[in-house]
Amino acid sequence: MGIETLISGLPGTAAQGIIYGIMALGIFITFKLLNFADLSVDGSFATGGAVAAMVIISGKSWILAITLAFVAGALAGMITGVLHTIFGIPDILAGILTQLALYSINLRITRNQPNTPISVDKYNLAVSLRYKEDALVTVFVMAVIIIAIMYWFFGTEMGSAIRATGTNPAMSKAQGINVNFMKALGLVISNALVAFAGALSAQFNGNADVNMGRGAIVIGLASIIIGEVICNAIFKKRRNFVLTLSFVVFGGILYYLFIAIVLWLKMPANDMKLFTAIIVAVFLAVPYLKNKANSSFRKAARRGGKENA
Amino acid sequence: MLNAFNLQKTFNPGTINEKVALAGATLNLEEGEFCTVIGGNGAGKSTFLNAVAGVWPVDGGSITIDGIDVTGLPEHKRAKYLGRVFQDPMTGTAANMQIDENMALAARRGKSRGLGWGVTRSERARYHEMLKELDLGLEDRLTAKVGLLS
Amino acid sequence: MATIQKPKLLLLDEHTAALDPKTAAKVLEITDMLIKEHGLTAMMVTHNMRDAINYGNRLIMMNEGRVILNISGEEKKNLTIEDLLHKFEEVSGTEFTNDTEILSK
Repeated sequence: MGIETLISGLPGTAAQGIIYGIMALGIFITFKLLNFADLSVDGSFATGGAVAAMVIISGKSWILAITLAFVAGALAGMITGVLHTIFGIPDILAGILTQLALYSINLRITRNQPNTPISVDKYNLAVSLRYKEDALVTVFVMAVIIIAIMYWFFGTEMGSAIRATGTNPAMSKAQGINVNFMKALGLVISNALVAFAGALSAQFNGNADVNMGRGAIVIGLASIIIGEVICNAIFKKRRNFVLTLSFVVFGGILYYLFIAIVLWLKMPANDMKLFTAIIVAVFLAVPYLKNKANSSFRKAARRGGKENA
Repeated sequence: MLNAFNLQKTFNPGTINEKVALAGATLNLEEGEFCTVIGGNGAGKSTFLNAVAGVWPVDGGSITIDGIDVTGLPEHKRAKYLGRVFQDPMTGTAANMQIDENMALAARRGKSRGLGWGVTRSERARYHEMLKELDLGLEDRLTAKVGLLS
Repeated sequence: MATIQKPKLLLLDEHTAALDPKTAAKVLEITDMLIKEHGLTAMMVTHNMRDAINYGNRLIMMNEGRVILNISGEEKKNLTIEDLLHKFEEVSGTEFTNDTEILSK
């Protein structure tokens, strides 16, 4: 296949990337703002897809489909929140339990169908791979709106309280913040966004698959980290919240572009998860190693050696 | 103002790490009294303060602040009556957040947190004046992250 | 920050212990000023006996989870470090031993 295939596929690649970017914005809330490693997103991404597919098949509009997916994701986040704050289950485990439970719940939602097709021929969808350019515009506008809302919300008293909870729970309590409520609220918003992205992804690809959420957390982290590294490189200290959020979405696009290139190179699709893991590991390791290289004992020894000489 | 009566607290009861931290501590403070607390290591000074602040529930005794029985109130609900300053400045601040945001968090202690701005423009102006009075050069760094200060 | 919104009770937990002596003195001064200005009720834990004597109008000493000494008014004004050390031994029945260094530095 020539390079033209890759280029002609770019709008679709970018659209799918932005959808992952929206999901990553959800993960950003828990991972970066709440300092909570929430693994329930692998489940809630698929929940969003499942709910949207069933609503669309029932003949309702995609607007209702996306809205109900959002609500379903919020409920999933609340389960993790309750497990963690009321029952005292550690964050990672609470997320894993929700994720596991959601697998069964998602199958129930789709009436035990592991894959539910929603063809753009039969239904009116928000986005579809068939109409790449339209889809790209739609998801881009959605991402801009979501970033604007997040920028506003995390500047409000309630949003600040969520950020304070993530940074310093002890101080937050002393300032009269109900940290358990704020953690649960953050999880609710996060998973609602993730399910929203799941609903978009299912429509875009024309089917909701019970396994579509597998690895969502890693893809989200990849987007966040890629975006952060690049944003830091370009803007350094002038980084602000809007830029950070925008680059999370940009990270999603880059990530998916990378995947598209790998696929275009005819590498086996089954190796995709391995590639993803390697990308995330590299992007996590590089800033750390760079930092370490700047203040290493070996360098210190060399500097000391020169002075002595 | 403060009536702490016969406070009891044992940490890790029934384990090898059991530690009786408060064994009937009692203190009454009148309005406007400034009380200094001394004692050796492990005497229960910090534990006493934490009991009043409600970091955990006491095992026995009662605490009233300004006539309000707060013995059964969790920490975040007591916060509206209390101002707290910790040993490590990092304990009492959100390092990732700006100075003005930190001050605004404190200004909303004990109030419900809605969808109004986290820091309003008039607050920012007021904080600028307050910090200027302290003469530590902080007033021009209102939007710096607290964790970057030294 | 704890006084932006006037609290009924101010709790200071060795809030100057981690600071260098000069800053610690300044922070203590500001603390004292704020407490007087707003007429706050306050409790301040300190390891420094001199500060405990110089600031405030009430002093308590704790030992083994109890308040073993409670001094206010005139008696507090005339208090010396020697008095405190002496009283500690008297009331608690033990000697200050290594706490002496910590408390009087």
